[in-house]
Amino acid sequence: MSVAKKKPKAPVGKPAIEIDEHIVEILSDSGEGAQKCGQSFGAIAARLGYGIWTVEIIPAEIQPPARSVDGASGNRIRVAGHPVSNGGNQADVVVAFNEQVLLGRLRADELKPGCSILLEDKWRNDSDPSIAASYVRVYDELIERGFDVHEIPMGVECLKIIKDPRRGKNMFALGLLCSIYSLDTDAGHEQIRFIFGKKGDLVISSNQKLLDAGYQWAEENLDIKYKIPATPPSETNIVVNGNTSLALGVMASGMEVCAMYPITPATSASHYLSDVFEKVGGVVHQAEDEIAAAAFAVGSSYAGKCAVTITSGPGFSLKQEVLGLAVMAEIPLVVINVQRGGPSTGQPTKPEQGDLLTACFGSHGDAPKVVMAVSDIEDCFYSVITARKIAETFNTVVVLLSDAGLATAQQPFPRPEFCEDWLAAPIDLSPVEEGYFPYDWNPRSGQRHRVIPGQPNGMHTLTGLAHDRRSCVAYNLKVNKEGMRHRSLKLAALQKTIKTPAVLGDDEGELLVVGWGSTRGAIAEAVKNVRADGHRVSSMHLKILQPMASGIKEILQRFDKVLVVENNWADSMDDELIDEENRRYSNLGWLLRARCLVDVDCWGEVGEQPIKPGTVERVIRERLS
Amino acid sequence: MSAALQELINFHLTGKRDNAQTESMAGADTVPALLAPYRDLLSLRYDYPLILVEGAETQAFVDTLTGVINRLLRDIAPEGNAGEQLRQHILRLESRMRELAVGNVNVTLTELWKQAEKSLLAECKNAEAEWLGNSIATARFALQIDGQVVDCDEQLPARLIQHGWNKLAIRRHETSRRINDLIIRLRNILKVDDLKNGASRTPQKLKTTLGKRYKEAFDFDRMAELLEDSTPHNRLPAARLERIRAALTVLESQKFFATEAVDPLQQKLHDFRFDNLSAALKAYHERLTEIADVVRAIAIADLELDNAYCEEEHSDFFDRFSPQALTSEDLALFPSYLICLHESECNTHDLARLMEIVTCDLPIKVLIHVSDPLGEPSPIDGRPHTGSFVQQLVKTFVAGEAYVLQSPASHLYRQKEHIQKALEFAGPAIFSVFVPFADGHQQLPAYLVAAAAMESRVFPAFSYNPAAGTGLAARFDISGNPDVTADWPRRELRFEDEQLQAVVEDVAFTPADFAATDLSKSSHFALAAKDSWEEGLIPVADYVDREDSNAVEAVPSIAVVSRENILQRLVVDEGMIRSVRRYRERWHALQELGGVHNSYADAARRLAEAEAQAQAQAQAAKLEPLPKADVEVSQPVVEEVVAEQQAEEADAETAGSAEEAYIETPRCTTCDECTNRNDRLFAYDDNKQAYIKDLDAGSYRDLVEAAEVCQVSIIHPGLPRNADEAGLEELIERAKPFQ
Amino acid sequence: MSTRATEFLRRSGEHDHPLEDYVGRVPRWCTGCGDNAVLAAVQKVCREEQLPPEKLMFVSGIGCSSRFPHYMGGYGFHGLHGRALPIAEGIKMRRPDLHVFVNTGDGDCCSIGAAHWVHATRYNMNMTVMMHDNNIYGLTKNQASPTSPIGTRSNTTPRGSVLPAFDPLQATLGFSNLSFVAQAADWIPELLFQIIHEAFKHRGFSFIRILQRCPEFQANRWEPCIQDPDKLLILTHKDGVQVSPTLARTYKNCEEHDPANLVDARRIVGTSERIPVGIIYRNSDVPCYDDMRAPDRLFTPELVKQGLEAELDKFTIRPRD
Repeated sequence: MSVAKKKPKAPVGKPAIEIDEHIVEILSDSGEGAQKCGQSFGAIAARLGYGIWTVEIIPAEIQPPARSVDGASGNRIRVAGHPVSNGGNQADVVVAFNEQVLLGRLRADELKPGCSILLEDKWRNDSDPSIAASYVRVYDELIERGFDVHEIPMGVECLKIIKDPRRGKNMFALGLLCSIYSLDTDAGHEQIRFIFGKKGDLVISSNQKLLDAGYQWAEENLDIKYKIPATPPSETNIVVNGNTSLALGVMASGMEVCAMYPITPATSASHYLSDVFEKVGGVVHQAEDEIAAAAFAVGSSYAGKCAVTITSGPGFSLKQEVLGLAVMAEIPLVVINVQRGGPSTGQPTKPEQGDLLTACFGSHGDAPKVVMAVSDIEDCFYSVITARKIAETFNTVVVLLSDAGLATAQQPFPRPEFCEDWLAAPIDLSPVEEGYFPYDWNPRSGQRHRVIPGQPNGMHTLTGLAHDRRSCVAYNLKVNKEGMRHRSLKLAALQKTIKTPAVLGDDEGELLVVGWGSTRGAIAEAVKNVRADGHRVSSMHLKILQPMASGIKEILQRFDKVLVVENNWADSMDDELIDEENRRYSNLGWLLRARCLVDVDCWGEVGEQPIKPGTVERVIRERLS
Repeated sequence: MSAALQELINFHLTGKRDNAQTESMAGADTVPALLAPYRDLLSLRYDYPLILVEGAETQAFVDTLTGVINRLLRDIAPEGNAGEQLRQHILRLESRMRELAVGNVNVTLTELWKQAEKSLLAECKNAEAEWLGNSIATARFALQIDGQVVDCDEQLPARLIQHGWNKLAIRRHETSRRINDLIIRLRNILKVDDLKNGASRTPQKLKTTLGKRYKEAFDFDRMAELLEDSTPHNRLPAARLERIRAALTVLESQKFFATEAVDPLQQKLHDFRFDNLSAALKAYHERLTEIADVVRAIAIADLELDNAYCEEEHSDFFDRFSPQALTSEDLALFPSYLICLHESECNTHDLARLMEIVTCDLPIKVLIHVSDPLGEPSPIDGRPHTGSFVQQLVKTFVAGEAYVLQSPASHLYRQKEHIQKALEFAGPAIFSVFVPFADGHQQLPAYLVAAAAMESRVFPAFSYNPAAGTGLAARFDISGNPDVTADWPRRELRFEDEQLQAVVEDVAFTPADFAATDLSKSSHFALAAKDSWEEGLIPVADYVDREDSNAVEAVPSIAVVSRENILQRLVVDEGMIRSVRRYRERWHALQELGGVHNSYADAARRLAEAEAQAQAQAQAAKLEPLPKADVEVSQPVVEEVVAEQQAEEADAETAGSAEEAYIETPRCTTCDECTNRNDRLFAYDDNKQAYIKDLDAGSYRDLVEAAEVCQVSIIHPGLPRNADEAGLEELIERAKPFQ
Repeated sequence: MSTRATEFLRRSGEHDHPLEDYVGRVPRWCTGCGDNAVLAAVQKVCREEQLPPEKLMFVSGIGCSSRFPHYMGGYGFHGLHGRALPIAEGIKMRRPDLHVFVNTGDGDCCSIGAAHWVHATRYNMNMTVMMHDNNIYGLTKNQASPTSPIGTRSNTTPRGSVLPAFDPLQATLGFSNLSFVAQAADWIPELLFQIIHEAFKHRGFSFIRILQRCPEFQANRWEPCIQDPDKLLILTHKDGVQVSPTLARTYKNCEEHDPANLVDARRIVGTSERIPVGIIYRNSDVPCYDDMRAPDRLFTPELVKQGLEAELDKFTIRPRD
């Protein structure tokens, strides 16, 4: 059994090493408040003008056993002197309340080799010999693998201030981090006042004491100190996670009904909405199942303003028949799909981009609909507003794709300035003009305006059966064809209005990396790094995937190679049986090849984490060589 | 007869005294014997102080400190020691709050609570203080209610009624909400219509609808061009838009209700509180035209929102619509008026106004504060006149359709349901409340004097609720008074005589006793020397009950107790006795209204009893009395007969003769079988049920085959009309089952 | 304006609706189909109540019954198999001004849409639901349905169905929050009308099971009852349906039943020898989901602005100065 490596007392006024960015992780059993510590650290950094991106580390179970490898609960915060668009690669500094949770991250390869680890040391002398033993085992392994481990008597230090350390460690840890990153404690005090505001001065002051204690301890005992230069922010920001941002978007879009059924990871958006929607005259209906939720939304959309239904993979599959009805009857509808690992129940809490093709081609028969994807937290907010507008203007279904990664990730963005034009207009109950039919398609654009119940002279029966302009059931082929043509034309019309997406980097070169949705930040960062080495690589990001903007083919053709990078499955050519004729491409891979007749290569990953910029960079370099 | 008694008799008859020994200090040194124990109210947990509850619509508008504390304890103080401890602490807090509440105006419950808590904690040692502090904190946390704390003083009536008026004007909230919604809906109609002018499809507009992350994603010029058909082009007719705008303007600018939809700075609202009747009436009449406009606007809005406004039918009606057309239902949508007066402010002129309000059913609530029910000695003969003019009048209103409530301030809380109903009542309401002025004439607490006024029948409590069913029995209520069936409530008076023997007297509390609480009435009493007591004093109640009131061997007296707690007797002068009799008469009148000792009823009852007796004898005389049961069944029998008849009539309509073909139309299920077969022979009536339209339009075969396919077999072919039709024999056979 | 006056104005405005105003396209049901009777009855109820046709909202699923909206003179939503109820709920939630009717069948309601039926009862939203029960899948050409009697021969049960029939009435009496359930027979138009009318007037989720003849595939299913009226038990009550003297001659078999009495309702439905027709259970005190969830304030841009700004404030971090 080894002895703890005693750190030399840190020299007073030790110099801070200047760095550009860092990734910090705070890990604990659930209930020990690592989440709060991480969020606070992020908020403080954001307020001071750092670019941040936080990712929640959530155990699958509600109450995992204490000190378990899979029970890690906490936060990863990427802090940089510049804006960041993704969670980055591996952690540089880790605070862990016990060695087991740490072990989980280590196995997942989330820790940068040799990174600093601040570890609660109380376990070393735990009354339970097995615990003490496992602590030592892990400790030794870490030292073995060359990590820079600092044992810290968090519990003991906290006990000097409060009765139950479990309740206070997190603020002590926050103090440690403030010292390590040379953040002044006033910012910390403010943050504490902000989060414990409701609990009264006593709680606030004792937490502030804990923070100071942590800060002091680090100043006196730790020899690690960094300084990340930052430019103080000029504008007011908000910090929310992706799902909250989606919910805020629903409010801001002027929709009045959200029908849903509980499913991970989409539900937290509905949780938040349930709390606030009624204040603005809206309602969240928790239906008896996913199908009912979709049908309920279609019902209220048909009779009133456009409604939204929020779900994830399995629920999205269940809704397909209803979506077909909405397409056929041309009822506006917004469907938000917070994607998770599939197929079937798959990986409920893990991000994936596997639903793109289902979104585009789901439901039987020809069911043209609009498909959009959000690329970051701010995008979640504005995309819902846009989706609502498109759905209502084109009387069509708009599928908005997010994913489990964005759902819980946090990133500051400028506080939106409310604009009344975002809101849906009031419903029109005036008499329908003489001679107007419910499906009076414009022969060129397929456009029509809908007739809703309550309007005199507009009486008709909407039907999922093929129907003519009068909404009479069509028994002959010609009529059916007319309907299909016009429903398809609507997408063409929308497509004509979409601008060609911008290319990041030169608009010609060796390699073009194409992505969509939440991978935007990681891809852009990777490409930037590779370009820095003089490679002629560019990237392009697609927001609206169906219909797809004009001019993409031309862009692809200007590059020697085109690579699609996605967070979903693609056969690897390395597998013996895989060849050009049987390779199954990633989702966007299929789409681009079909749409542009260009030999698009693709790379997909279905890991447990959002794709890291480092990984993308690696793939790019492989493709270049 | 002793000189002392002689002297007292003289006083009684003349109301004048000639020696100072008989000087009474009624109302100053002494108080009526029955009230003596209550001199110090603070020791009691009674209805006061009251709490004028703020906030939550759901809570009652008024509560009592006692009630609040009781409920609090019920909720938080568990059984057993801990609970008992807590209970003791909170009760201490309560009594301290009582002390502090006295003369402490405009204090809220929570403020009072804090003050009491502070002064209590200041008194006790650390350990105890912490203990007490914890109890109080616990209770404080559970305290859900707050509002002004008010004691029983001359301010109370106005404050209580006003508070209720503000809080209970529910219909005001409803109408204001309704108008608010109409404003929003009408605006929406205009907005939607406005969007149809194409402005919503300009590139600039389209751009602003998407939010900043998408401003570069689209070609908005192209979008504008492609969206030409995305919104309808049918604008509303100019006349309709005009009408909607007009209605909207009226609703937005009306002065009766605050509405969220209109900027508060733009809203100039009417005041509905007045300090004199004429002003209120004037305002009411002036505003009728505005009300008519608002009502018209609401109606037009309702119709427009349903696309139900039809010019040729409606315009004419609305053009004619004027205040005369307003129904009470319409008026009930609008706020009521409130006037608080002191009886002295009611001259005959005002009383006439009051009359007008009542007879015209105007939504005006009037509070009349009575401070001296006995009134000043009349200028003519110096005798007290029995009760103020206003009181008299209030009773006469019972004839009209006004909600009337009379009560001394002491019992207002008990009347809170009535106050609430009266304020919510669509028509007029009159509250007559007695509480004395603190003008030095009273040494007893106002609460006690008020209570005494009711006890003595000088100021009885009663209410008249025109909305409660028909007939006095349902509408009139005197149950709030003590011993309603008796002339006076009687109580036991216990004291010790010279031999320290406990004596119990059964004493009635009369107007004379009430008068003895008031220094300004002391001239009506003379102090009776001890030795005259046995000789010739009898209680006022017995005295007024005597048949011949002229016998003068004894004089009426009341019992009072001095500060030194010595029992004294005061002789009452004739003038006071007269008003005592008058109050008794008035009480009898009230009793009768309230259904107690109703002279008519009594007469009727006597008659009924007599008849019943007679019948009983008749029955007894009969040998075989008629079994009761028969009487009961006879009723249904009749009904059955009626039913039968109806049935036969029904037969007559449907079932024709056996020869003639017919259909049991009411049973037809509209299945199209017969009509598809031959739609000239069979047709549907305007209930979509089949009947035989034209027998000549079809053959007998048609009839029979139709009968056969008819799902519910209600077609009866009858007999063939054309004997030459082919295959008749066979058809007639087939028709048989349907005859 | 006194409601009397507005009512008068409303009436005077719309020129009184004749039956034709409620007639839509020409029914394509088979001749002799019981649905025709239901259609006629509903049209009569609409005329009785003088409902503005543009305020009529008929929602249906898939099946013969669900063709209903096409044949009515109002707005219709002919949706998906089994999903009529959630669609109707969505409509009602935002449009209390519409009179929502749902036409569904034994397969649509008791089989593919059963889950929605249970919960629609629970939500108790204000709508009138007619379940046309012909004990068979008709439109898909003769397959046994949940309510087919055991032994029913159909294309999917050529040797007779093996399961006993599902009883929708017993089921509804077991659902939480039930507020109205009735049973009608299409071949007794007078009662059919009364029952649908009562259901319409009831505030809440009014569920009517209508015994419906299918001359095509279940020709003899109800024949015995039609021939022998005593096989039916007519439930009469002053708060329920009354039987006219004419009808009383055919249907002598009546029982006084108070719709408020759940215990009796269970007894009546439980006993199989006689088929009850009338209002089986009604409770007007069950709160309606559409009332409970209705916004307490109307939607306005100002409201949204307020609400949104308040929320954004919670998440705002202002730059440190």
